[in-house]
Amino acid sequence: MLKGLMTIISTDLLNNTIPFEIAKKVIEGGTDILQLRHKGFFDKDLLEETKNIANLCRSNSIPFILNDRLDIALLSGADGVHLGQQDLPIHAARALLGPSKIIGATVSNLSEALKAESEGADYLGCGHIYPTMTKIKNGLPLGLSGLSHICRHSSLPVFAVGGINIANIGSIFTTGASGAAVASAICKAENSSQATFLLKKAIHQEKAKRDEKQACLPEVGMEGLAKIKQASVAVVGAGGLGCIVLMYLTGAGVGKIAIIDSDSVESSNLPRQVLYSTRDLGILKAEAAAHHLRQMNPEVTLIPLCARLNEKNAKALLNEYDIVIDASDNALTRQAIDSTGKLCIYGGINSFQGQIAVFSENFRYRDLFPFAAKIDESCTRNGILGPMAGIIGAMQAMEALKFILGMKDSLVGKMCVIDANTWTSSIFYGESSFPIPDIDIQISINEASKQNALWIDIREAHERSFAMPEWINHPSSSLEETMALLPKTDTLILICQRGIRSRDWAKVLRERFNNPKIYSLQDGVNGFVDSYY
Amino acid sequence: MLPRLMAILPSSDPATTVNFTTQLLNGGPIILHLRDKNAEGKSLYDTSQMLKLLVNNRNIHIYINSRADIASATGLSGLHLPENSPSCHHFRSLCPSHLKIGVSVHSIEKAIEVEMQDADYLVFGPIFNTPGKTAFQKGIRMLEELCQHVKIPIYAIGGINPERTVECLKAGAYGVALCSYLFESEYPEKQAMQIQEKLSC
Repeated sequence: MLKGLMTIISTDLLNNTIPFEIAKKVIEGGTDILQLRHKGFFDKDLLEETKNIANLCRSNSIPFILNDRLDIALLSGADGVHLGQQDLPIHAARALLGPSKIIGATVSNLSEALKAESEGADYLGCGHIYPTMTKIKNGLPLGLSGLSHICRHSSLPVFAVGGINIANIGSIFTTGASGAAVASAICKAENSSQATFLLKKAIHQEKAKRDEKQACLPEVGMEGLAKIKQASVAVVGAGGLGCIVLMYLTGAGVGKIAIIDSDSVESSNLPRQVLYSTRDLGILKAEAAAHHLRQMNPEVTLIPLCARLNEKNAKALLNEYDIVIDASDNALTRQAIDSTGKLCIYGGINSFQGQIAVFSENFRYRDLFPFAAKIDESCTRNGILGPMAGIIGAMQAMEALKFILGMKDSLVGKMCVIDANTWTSSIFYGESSFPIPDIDIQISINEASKQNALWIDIREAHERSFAMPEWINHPSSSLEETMALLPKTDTLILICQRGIRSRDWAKVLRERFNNPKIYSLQDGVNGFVDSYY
Repeated sequence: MLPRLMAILPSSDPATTVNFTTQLLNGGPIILHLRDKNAEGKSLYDTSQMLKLLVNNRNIHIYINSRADIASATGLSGLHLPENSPSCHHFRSLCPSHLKIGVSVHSIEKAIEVEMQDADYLVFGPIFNTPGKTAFQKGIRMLEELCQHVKIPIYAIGGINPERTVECLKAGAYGVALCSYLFESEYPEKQAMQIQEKLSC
């Protein structure tokens, strides 16, 4: 990945040492990326040298970038090319290289940075930061403030370059830069391997400050931090729950996070989807989220996937992740996640109630909701206050971290339900049960009207824009208590807006009261309205 | 068909280049060879773009020295490689198929090798004394010998003028490559026409 220490082997800084020898040493010292800057080579010799270094880097899984010469980079098998303002234009290079090769661009101000980004650069070499003699520079050094200005406004990884040494490399990582590029401090060192090692160590020390408060928890420690950095999480849905989950997991430094969402940001999202601002309206959520999160923590590998998860693609999309967070808002997506059988941290909200569960092999979403919807919409579009999403999202993030850390008291196999009106919460233990077929549970309008039955409207008061006077109102939130009062012999027909909640409740109540004559009105009020009006 | 006259531009500086090129616009079919080892990528890119616009649809083919990336990026007609460059079949894979690739050679052995690597043409020299190159001149006899061994077009270079053009053609050369004879003169177009006249005999 494009972060950390980029060593620039600059041939004009080497005394009689061939670049390949230095390359071996800096790889030994732990460089993250290697760039070769060459002067005075014949093309033939340059190609030979570049090929050797490219092979060396490939076998060590280190990205290798050649300065300036795109043709030689292509011929040698280098991973990409670094272009200065005086080299081939970025857009021309991108057209020749295709999308997969890396293109770096040297920039010294924001307008160059934005231009390079729009032309297709993958990273920026931003400098010079400190005074340097490596290349003859125009203008004053940017300093850390100039660097952070560019980092703030560019969404590309930024490498600080120019005058960086062991004493100041740490400070680079206080600006939002993804990395530092070092030439003199390594090429001119007596022992370039050790110089590389010490620079990396200085970066680590600076970065460790970020994790101080996490590391000092006995449940985390250095070992826990390492687990968090190695973990991979797929977050399905970058909405109210997803935003919160993503922010905390990115903040904690989870190694790799996929953001799966096919929607774009709308203004009605903004009160609770706190990652986004009005500037993001109309942008794909996965892209916008990745952009903001990268700025929060450039260490995290963020993978935006602008796709709608379904039963066909779920396995392929989620397969490589340790944990799936279900932060979606519809039953079809939840079922698709469930079908993969992966460890899943589920969250759901309904006005002032929220629930979170951890599904593993023995307790799945289908056990909790055997009659979940077959249509691609939640039963009703209830209102929501932002903090409710925040609470449940934060709980999901907490469960994810607990699981990653291997803590015992996790919610695996359990569900926690929390009520924000009263702040009561309860834990339920999940039990695997095969879905019971819902034959007979649903009743058509024709059939229902022939019955001498009590019609019970289980919708909440605010949903009842249309209702028949005969219908008895028993909102589902208090249904179980009031049901106990009803005569048990009667045929009962439950009604909700679309016939989804009513179906689930009919099933529950049949068992609870041992009454087979409890039905759900097929297609709910919508169906009723369609057939009568 | 390859033009028989190759004009090697003495620099890639935009003003000079445009000036010289303008003066050759009516000088018949020409390969205009952009060669500047010290120029940065951007200036070569910009100059190439400009030259393409300038020559428009005339029978002037723009070639560039060494930089396959610039040739591809700007859609030039040819790439010319110095002898110490990676072999030309390497570059074929990078460049569009219509692009001609030629190589400078200084010995018969090298010429045979380069022909086997599918070069489209060779530049061989210096044939005569020239202020530009300090290497030993090869002489017309060696050119003659080379032409017997190699089938691809050979351009003679080094101290070429109209009379010597005739000699080179007699020795079997396909064309000639010139720099100072054209560009150190006050009237490059006139000089070019003199050469073209000999080439078309």
